[in-house]
Amino acid sequence: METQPVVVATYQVTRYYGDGAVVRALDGVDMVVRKGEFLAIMGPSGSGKSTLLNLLGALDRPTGGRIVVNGEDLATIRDLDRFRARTIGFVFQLHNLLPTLTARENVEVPMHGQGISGNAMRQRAEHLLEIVGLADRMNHLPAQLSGGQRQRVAVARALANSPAIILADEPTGSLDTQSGNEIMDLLESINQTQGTTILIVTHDPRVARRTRRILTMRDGKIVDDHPVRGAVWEDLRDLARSRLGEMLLRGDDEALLTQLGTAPDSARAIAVLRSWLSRVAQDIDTLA
Amino acid sequence: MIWRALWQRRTRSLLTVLGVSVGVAAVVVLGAMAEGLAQGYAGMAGGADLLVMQANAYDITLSALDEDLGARIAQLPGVREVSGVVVGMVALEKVPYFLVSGHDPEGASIQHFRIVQGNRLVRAGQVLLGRQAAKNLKKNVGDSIRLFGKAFHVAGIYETGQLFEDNGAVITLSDAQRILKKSHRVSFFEVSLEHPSEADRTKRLIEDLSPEVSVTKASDLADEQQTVETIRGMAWGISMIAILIGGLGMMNTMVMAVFEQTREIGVLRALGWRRRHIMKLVLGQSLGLSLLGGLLGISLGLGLVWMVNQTPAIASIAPAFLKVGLLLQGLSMALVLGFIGGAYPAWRATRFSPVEALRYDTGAGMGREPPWLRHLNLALRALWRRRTRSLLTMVGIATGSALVASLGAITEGTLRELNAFVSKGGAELVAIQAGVADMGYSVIDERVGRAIAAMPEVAYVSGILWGVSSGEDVPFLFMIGIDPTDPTISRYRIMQGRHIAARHEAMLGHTAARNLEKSVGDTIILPGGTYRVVGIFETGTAYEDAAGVIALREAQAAFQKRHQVSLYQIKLRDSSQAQAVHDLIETRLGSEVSVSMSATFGENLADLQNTKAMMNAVFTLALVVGGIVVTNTMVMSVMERTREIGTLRALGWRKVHVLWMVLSESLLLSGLAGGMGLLGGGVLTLALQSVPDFGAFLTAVYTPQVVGQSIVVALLLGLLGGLYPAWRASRLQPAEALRYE
Repeated sequence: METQPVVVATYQVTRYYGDGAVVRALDGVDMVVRKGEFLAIMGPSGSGKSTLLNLLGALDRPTGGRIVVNGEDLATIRDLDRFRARTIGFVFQLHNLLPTLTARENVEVPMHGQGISGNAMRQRAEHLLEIVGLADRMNHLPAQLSGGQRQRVAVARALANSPAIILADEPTGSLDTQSGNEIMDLLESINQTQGTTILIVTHDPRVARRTRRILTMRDGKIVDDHPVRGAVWEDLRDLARSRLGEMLLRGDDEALLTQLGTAPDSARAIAVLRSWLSRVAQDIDTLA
Repeated sequence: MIWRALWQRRTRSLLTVLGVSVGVAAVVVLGAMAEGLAQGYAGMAGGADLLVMQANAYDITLSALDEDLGARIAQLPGVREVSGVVVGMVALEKVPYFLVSGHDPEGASIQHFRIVQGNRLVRAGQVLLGRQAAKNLKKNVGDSIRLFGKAFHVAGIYETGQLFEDNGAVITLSDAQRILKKSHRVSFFEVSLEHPSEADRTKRLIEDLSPEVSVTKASDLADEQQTVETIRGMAWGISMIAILIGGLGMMNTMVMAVFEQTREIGVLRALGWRRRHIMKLVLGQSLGLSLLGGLLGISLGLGLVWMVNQTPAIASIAPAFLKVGLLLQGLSMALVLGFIGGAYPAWRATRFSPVEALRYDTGAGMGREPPWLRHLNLALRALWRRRTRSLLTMVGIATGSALVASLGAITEGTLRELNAFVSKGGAELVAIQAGVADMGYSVIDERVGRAIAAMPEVAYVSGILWGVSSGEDVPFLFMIGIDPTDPTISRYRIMQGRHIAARHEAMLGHTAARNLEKSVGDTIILPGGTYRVVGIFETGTAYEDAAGVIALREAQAAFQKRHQVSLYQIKLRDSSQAQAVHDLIETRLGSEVSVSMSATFGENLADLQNTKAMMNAVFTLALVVGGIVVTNTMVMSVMERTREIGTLRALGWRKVHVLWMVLSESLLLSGLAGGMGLLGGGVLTLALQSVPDFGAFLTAVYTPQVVGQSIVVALLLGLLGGLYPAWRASRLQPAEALRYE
């Protein structure tokens, strides 16, 4: 992975809102994403993750710092529309499909004005809808599709111009668990088969764990950046960052026992947890 | 809560208010102008108690009576003073209708012209100008002014407080008789009485003197003028159309407001609000808007009234006269609009079931779609998505373009009729009086005709005299006098009976015969007495087919125009000489007549210039009101699709793409409406043609220009109305637009 080219690089990116009482939505973000990565940005609401996504997608301009996407410095790009159409694929929380267009036509939307013939657009849209498993729903209007299906159309639409990176803002946010899982399956398979870089913004840990790298933001800063190594590993990480984990790592057994109660096997549980935690602790730079 | 809702949608509220206000302003201005005209006529009576004019005259400016009648009236018991007055309309540069009246400098009628500058009128060649006229024409005491080609010396400036008079001029009676071609005749007599309470008795005594006179009490004068009625009707019609379009915009806004507030309404209902309260909420919004619109319209109207009175061309004929009643009428009209415009949406709002209303989603709430819709293009689908709104907008635009189509076709038809009218006999040239305000006022002495006939290039001239009869037997009949021996009489192709040959014979056009229910052998009472109908004819031009034809001499006597005609048709020996002869007559007799090639006669007429000026005004009104309605619709359309537009921009659509998307939708909308308007224009024309009396004179011709013009109006509306919203849509920041709720 380290040998792959860099797709996204930011350097001390800031984004402030307002004139008087300035809101620092982003407060010095540095990050690097390489080609083919499948990563999630996590954080509570207001932590700046959507702002960051908008900046990466050239929907908004930073107050300070540099952003380079696919080798282009966003500050120097003249034609941002073309950049968005060619380089970025968006998936929104609310599918944002045009209600008057059929599924196929919605997928064609980003191809308009890109010098693609009507026939080629049509074929490409049909091909993409087959990939997302909606070959039999091409001529349906959004209102005639389920929530999960709509979001799949949105994913197909994001792929329309074979973008270098897909930016997905809470793609499962308005879906039930099963539909959400299906969308994540879809994104994962696209990442694996097509090699498309995918960046997902979410506040759902279960969604984040299905990616391979998690960035955590708080107050406009990236406070954690780690690779995902499996479910147990992630459980332990979560535990390590909890109050309980803190007590475990500090070796404060007395406090722990007060917390856990005085069950007969408490002491043994603590011992096991501690041995596991110490094995991951070296990876958790921020806690070290 | 009501005002806050309106404030939240400022642009839309503003546009709606503007739409209503233009309609209200039209009511105020046009109403004030019609009222000014009526006041002007009323003012013509000066300080007199009774006014004696020619019976069956369509309008007081067309009336003519023998001068000697004055002396006979003066001898009647109870009559204190009688003065004869001549009035006429003169065309000045930039002032198509300029009222000139002639008074005896020693008589009673001139007394009420209060001199504010300079001196009284004492001799021929002098003129007094009304204060407003002097200001508009930029003339002062000592200057000179040309009327019908003759120079007059401005002796003084007067003020009477009467709008017509203050916008006109006064010359001596004998000057007026000369330049207005009324020797030994007057337009009317002003009669003042010893005891004004005995007006009715004296009125009967005067009427017994001659069957040719009609006596009007000064206070009733305006109401008895057909012209006033016609203008009032037109003002009413045009302002109603402006109001209608404004009202459609209003309803449109309220339908959208209810749409948008569906969820809110659901919440309110769920919280226990009654339908009645919801109704009040919606109606309150629309009444609030219309109240603002009404007030703005009134101020706009006041401004326009002021402007009208500063414009000499309009102020001289229809000076705007404001009455408080008119303002109240405008305001109440706006409120009625608000009520009607709000009633349907309010009713719709109360019909929402709370559960459904709460589930309502502005973006996706469109499950049922007819399958054929899929084959339509994007813009059409977007219009279908908001059917009610699209329809209302289309009706609004269509009304405007229907008006333009109908009036355009009628103007064009009239033009062709006029040209056909004068060129049918094969004459190459046509002459009417030089300097007249319109054809109706044209008078040419027969000696001028004889002078033209004496030219070696001229084969013959044929003079006709026209007039309008508006008696009790025949409320409105266009009359033509022609010499029975004139070779051009053959243009009246007889369908039944024969041509006129002797006195007291008349022939009727077939439309006139049908309307009056007369056939060959019947008698008919027309100016000048009783006539026997000897023939029914057809010419193919609507004017003539709706007219009555009598012998020239009888017509001259009946209309008090002895040895005068209205128009000469000039037949040449050699057609190729037309231009040369035209120039020759213009040089020799230019002060008497104005000559045109018969094929282009209509275009050169002052009448047509005036009609075209009116057309342009209607055109502009339709554009302004319609443009506001379209803008409003498109602003709403862009607003509710803010997120969609944000999405498109995020997906890489260019601004110009988004701009074109919105613009094409608005152009499509107005194009469709333009088609609708054409059909509507046809219907409107038919409706106008079925109006008794004058309907028969209206011929509509739909030339490609007329059709094109109304389509252009519609498309222009689409372009103008779409431009701002499209620009606004293209300027949306994608990141913000995506967050928009």
